[in-house]
Amino acid sequence: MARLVSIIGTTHNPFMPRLFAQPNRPPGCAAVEERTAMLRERLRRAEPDVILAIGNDHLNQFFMDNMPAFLIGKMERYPGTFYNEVREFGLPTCELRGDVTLSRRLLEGALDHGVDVAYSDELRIDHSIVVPLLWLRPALDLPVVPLLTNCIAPPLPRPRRFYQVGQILRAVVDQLPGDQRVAAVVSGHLSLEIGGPKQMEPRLVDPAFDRRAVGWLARGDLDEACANTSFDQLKQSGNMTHGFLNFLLAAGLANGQRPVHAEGLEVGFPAVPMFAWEPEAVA
Amino acid sequence: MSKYYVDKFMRLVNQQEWAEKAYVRDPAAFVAQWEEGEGRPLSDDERDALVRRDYAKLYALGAHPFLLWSFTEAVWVHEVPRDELVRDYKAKTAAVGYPDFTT
Repeated sequence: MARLVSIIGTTHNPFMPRLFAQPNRPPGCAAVEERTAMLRERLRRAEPDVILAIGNDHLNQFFMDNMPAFLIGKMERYPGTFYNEVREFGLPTCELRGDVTLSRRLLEGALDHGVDVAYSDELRIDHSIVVPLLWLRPALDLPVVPLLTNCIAPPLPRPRRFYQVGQILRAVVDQLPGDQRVAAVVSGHLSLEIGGPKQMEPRLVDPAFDRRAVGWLARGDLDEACANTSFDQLKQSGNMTHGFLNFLLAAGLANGQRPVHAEGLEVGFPAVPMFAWEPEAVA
Repeated sequence: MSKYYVDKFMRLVNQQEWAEKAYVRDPAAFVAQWEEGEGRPLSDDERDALVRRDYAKLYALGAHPFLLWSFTEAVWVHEVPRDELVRDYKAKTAAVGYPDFTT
């Protein structure tokens, strides 16, 4: 049987790679690097064969002419990053190998379990997938199956749905034939504002939200998490805080189990989420 | 109100270098040419804000903030230092609050 061997949740802040390379970088960068190294090591020790890479497209690949709620890529190879991300963030372009068989199995399994997930045979992945992989698996040597969510163009799927989709994907992985070791790398945010009056402050956007949100996940309190993360509720903590919803999907992948690490790092810019779950093997 | 088309225009300018350059070179001509191809969907306020690269007005009209900041940086940063642009953007959007950006 296939196994989900690790779930990592972290930031996809696209400014970080360039910021961290500067000589006069914020003093908190070292702490981020130290935690990232810890997560990278957890991922390495889990010895995955393939990465289920979960993030939210930023109106790069998808747009309001045809906006999927959840979408799985099923390609042999995925080009990474868009022109505007290279221009604005200085991100590299890249190419990631896919795993079409696993993509198809996850798609079919999700459909069988009542999630009408969309798919794509022509997908370019943006920083929500590329940045966490550059931090956590810099060699980019493992095949990926990208799963993209809509956290940016309302109306969004409801918080409970993010959690349910995670649970269903977990059930699908647990029932896959073969002995593939699957790791999930999930990216998102704590409180965040982009394109509004509170953007680019050298501090947390909403420290009270960050503490509560990390606490929900740390305690496995998904009822509380789902009850407090509607579109309008999240918007109160920063206009792009909705990326937090991806961590509800991560908690669903963990079947509500508590993470072994849960933290929002305060380092002189919006909080840097760091989560890790060690999923228990299904007997 | 045609927020969708404002967002569509900003996305084109963000993602295509040729569009970014053509728009910055002659905003009025580029907006007119683009709008012709789309069936003239913009309101007068929206068209005027795009022609003037007026990010404060676009924000007030409900442009998607994630697209809008990227767009603002792309089309102004060659003329205004980035720190100054960030400050001005924050001050002007603060005066407006949080308009609904749902299309």
